Amino acid sequence: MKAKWSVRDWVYIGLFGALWGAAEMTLGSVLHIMFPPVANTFVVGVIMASLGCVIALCGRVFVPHRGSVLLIGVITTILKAFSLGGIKIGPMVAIMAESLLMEAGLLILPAASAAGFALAGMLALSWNFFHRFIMMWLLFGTDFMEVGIKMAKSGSRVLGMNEELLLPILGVLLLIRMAAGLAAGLLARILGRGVAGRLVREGS
Amino acid sequence: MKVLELPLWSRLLLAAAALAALTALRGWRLLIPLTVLLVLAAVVQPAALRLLGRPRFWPLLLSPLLIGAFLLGDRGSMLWGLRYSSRGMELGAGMSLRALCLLVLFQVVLGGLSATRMIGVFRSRGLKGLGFALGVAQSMLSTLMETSLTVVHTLRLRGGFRRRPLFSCKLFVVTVISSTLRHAEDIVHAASARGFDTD
Repeated sequence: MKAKWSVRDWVYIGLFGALWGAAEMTLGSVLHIMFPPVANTFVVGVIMASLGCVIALCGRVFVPHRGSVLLIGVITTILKAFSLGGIKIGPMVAIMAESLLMEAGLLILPAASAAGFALAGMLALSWNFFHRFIMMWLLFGTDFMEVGIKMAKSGSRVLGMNEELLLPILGVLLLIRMAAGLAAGLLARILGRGVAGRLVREGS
Repeated sequence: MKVLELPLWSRLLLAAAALAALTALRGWRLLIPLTVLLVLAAVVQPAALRLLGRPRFWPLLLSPLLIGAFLLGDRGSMLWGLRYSSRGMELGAGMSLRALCLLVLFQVVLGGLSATRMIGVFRSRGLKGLGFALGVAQSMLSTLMETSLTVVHTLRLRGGFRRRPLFSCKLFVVTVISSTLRHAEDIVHAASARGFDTD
């Protein structure tokens, strides 16, 4: 039987969406000024996606229904679209894609399990790797090969690897993001349960 | 004056079609979606075209063209005594056209809409719960930002971020989320007292 969504569930969806939206509008805007997105999607992307992942998956602990993470993402995207400073297509695409991937991860493995949360986090953070390819294609018409070579060149400097090792460098860059996602997913589960326990102890 | 009002689904369809065209087309062909979008903007959202009249808009839009012409590729061509790269100029023009297409597209798709109007749209489409959640999110946004700032200041004044940065980050997240959830209870009680139901 299909579980009914209560008023409390919808309030939680709204509040977790607002939390992610507030993080995007404050910390996200500051980070985008510190690290211009065209030059560096790695730092800002990984920090913001990890934070979004923690908030949305914490929301899943409190609203254990299928689709709740996706709805939190929808709310955040709408808040971001109408926030001050105009339309920011990059973050909006990223928020929607990440919430879709988190939901997919929670569909594949049992949603309440640590493995489900870890997979959801890994999938969401892996978007950050593909985001640059898609946004560069959309905004600048740059083809995938060109973006991949540029990404590998900057990655080789950071990782201290030979820049001719194109695929291994790209693989390591993807793995770093997935590891961050795994940590964010597990952290979200721990934090969500911690907060729930704290609220129970306080009697709210 | 608006000649035509676009329903939400056709706005979304238009956005999808325009983004597909932008990813598929290159070079001068980008003028096709741009022309279509400009005509649509004139009919659906004439206020969107005000953007083109702003003086600071054009330097920003034309900067990729100039950067491309003078900084990218081999500067083998000559115009009015200035050496420029025709390949770089072509790339820059493509970027400027894409940027203009996206700006006009978002003005047409989201122009005239607001979060408050979106709540109404969701309710009228039978998505009462989503409309309610968006309303909650919109009204709680400023409270949440204030709460987050208060928690950050409190932790910083106690030296938390300097002495135990990771533990302080965890404390920050737990405090903000639990305080948010306490607000949630108040909203649920207020909605229930008014006999609100999302079905």
